[in-house]
Amino acid sequence: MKFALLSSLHRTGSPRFAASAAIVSPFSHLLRILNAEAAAFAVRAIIFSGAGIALLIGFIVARRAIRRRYFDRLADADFYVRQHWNAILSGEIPPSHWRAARLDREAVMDLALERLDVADQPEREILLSFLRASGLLGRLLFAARRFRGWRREAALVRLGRTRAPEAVPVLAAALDDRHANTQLAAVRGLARTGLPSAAEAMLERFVTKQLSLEGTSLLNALIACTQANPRIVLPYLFTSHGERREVLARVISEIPPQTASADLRDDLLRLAGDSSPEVRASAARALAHTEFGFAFPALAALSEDPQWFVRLRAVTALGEFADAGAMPVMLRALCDRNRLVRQRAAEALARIPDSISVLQGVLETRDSYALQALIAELDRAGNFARVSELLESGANRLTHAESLRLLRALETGAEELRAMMHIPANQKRLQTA
Amino acid sequence: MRELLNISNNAFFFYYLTSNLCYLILLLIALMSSRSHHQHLASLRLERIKTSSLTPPITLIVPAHNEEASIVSSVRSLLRVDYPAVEIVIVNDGSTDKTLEKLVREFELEPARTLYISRLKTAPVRGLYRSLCEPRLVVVDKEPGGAKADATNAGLNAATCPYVCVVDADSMLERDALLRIMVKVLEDPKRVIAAGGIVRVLNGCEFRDGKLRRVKLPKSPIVILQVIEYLRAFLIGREAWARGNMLTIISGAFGIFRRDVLMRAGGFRADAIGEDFDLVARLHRLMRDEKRDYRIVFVPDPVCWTEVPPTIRSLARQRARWQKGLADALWLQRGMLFRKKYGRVGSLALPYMWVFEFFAPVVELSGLATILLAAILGVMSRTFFIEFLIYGYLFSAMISVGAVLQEEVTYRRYNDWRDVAWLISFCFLEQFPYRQFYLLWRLQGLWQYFRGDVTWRPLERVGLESPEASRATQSQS
Repeated sequence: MKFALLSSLHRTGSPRFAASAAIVSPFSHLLRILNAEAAAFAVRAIIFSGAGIALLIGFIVARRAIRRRYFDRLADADFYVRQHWNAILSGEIPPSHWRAARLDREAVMDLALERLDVADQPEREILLSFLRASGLLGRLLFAARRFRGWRREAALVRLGRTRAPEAVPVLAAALDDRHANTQLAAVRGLARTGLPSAAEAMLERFVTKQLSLEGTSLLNALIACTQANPRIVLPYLFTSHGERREVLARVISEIPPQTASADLRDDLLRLAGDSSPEVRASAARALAHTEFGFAFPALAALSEDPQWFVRLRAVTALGEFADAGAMPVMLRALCDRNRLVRQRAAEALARIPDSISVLQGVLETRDSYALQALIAELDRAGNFARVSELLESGANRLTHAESLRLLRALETGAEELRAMMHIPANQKRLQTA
Repeated sequence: MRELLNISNNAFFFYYLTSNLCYLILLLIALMSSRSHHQHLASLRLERIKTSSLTPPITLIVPAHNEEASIVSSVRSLLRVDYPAVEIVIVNDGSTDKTLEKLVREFELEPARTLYISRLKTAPVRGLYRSLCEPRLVVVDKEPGGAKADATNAGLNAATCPYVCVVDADSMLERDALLRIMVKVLEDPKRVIAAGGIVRVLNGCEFRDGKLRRVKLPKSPIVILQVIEYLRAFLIGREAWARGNMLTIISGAFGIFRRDVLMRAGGFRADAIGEDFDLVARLHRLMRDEKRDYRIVFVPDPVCWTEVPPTIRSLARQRARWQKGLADALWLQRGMLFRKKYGRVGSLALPYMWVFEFFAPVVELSGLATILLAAILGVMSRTFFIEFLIYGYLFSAMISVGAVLQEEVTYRRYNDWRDVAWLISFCFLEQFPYRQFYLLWRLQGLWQYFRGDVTWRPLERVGLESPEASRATQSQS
């Protein structure tokens, strides 16, 4: 690149240095080396900038015009296809009528995929048969194998949307492509199939480090493909290490409640005792999708974990059950050294319908912060007035004196909250939180 | 004299050339970065974040000082935000208008029974309120602290969620903005400590019932110029710097932070003038001092719409304040410069800010003066002088058109042909005379800073749905 030198620009435009060479010598020398023709540079820079502007504006205008024309024509084709969809699907309008024209073909494909996204099983079968018979699926398979760049990427994602079993090997092959974007498109496509075979294709490559994508795309894809049978993740999880093991544990943590079968539960207990805190936290999350009676002992143990985020997950999971049986654990968590754990415990306790027992339990902790956390949560949940009224009216199982004691504690605690507003934090526990 | 002019001209020309080269590199990085981000967007599963009971809750902190014109619509729009667990903390920073009264009336506020501990020192809190109709809404009423940072710190004290998002009271978040910004955070929750979204200009858009109805380019030239500036700053500057984990600013109008890290950093510096830049610089410093692996990211798709100064007077004040804030934060973090432990932030991002942001107005003014003098005295060819001006003008315009292109190929919020045509036209007007005014405002800011005038003066607001704003919108449509 050539640099210009203002000082060298005399009327002739040739570089010339004045008598100030001693002062500006090193600077000027450098400039002289780098450049000879400053004026020429300025002209070139003007041309470069002007051309740059023209190109950018030209690109914007051309892109707008092309897109407009394309989408207008696509909208027309789409309208025609929607009008005649039943005839196209039944074959009354044979594929030869629309396959040759690119936009018609695109419109048919888009509508078929759109329907597939929301179709139930019988309709899906019909649509898939249509895609096979019309040759659209064949075209997609071809494009996903043979094309390059963005056209291949688009074909891969579309192929996944068909949820056709024959798409999986083609998508899996694209996972081995050296371009990250193609891999990403293949992962997206595999996610859309939601098939266990797609999950296996990704898992094999993931644990052997052939596939490593940043972000949540892979995680989401694995979750989507293992919803029906999360157990397929376990062999890979138990044999992997480090960050990969944590990712697979996160997949397990997202299992839907209906798939938490009896044999999977045993594995969840095994994961709850894992050496990695991330895996233990994921196990706690997964246990929230099982039954309270089964999950409680493991979650109670995890609620005493040395890592705060494991305790947090365990307390959150227990809170999901809203079961009074978890109260002793929650009361202990309410006095936790971590603020978030205390808060989640208070939230969970405020959700337990038997507020009186909860209040009694909190008072037994003799921890004013625990009481205040509960009051704050009762207030947030809009239950403070209800509990006060319940104690005031005496319509509860307690003696009058006990009701009065609880009411006083509730009101004093609320007053203390107001009084504390101007007190700076000097409590050890708050500093550690 | 001639020698001095020569030296000055040489230096100025190199300075200008380097700054242009930097802009060009930033533009190219930003174009590449948005391409990959766009591909990533296609595989987003916002639904998963939305439906999971384990998605971390967020506290939205809204500092409000005399915001009666926009506070109600702003809170309404925040209540509509699509996120499974949100707590909204409005901090009434000693407003002398009817901000608090409006909130009490509209949202049925009652004194709240909530634990408030002043871990971060702020001006005294007068009371805490919770809405009866919206339990997620908490209002902290406090004595005026004299700065937005003080109010934000009070909000941080009251926040109960692990993540906090600071939003301006005159701004409006798009419904899925929190979901989108949290995608980046949840991808890497251990390392991502802060994330900034894009801030766009609300003036001129149709906004009713707390909802943005239509995106339109404003008619006022001063606002259109700010639209271009925002596009350039966010879609080029932030996108490119964030790529190398060198983001030094997360807009005060919309940014998300891990609360524990913010507390460890001491929250916002109450006497900071530009609290957003100051905070991010301090976060970089804290993380690097603690030798932690961290990331501060920019996410270009979650949008926060904000009202920008509609008059030259208020714009001048805002820009002078920004320059003061920049000077203040840079000076405090001068110890980070060129020190190995501060990595790229200390060796690239901050030096860039010093050279091409802090010193820019001074260098530009003195450079223009000496070039003009040199041309008059005949030290420099007048032809070259004109060529140089044309080059400067065209190159800067090219970068601005690049920002419009970036917008066009990615988010395309301005759909109308006429809006795009206006934007491109104003890319040329921006270089003259706006840039020269901007130069003076920045100089004014520096002058005020060196004189010790660091008072924070709030800007006049029209309000998101005020009669003035409605009239303006109607007259434009």
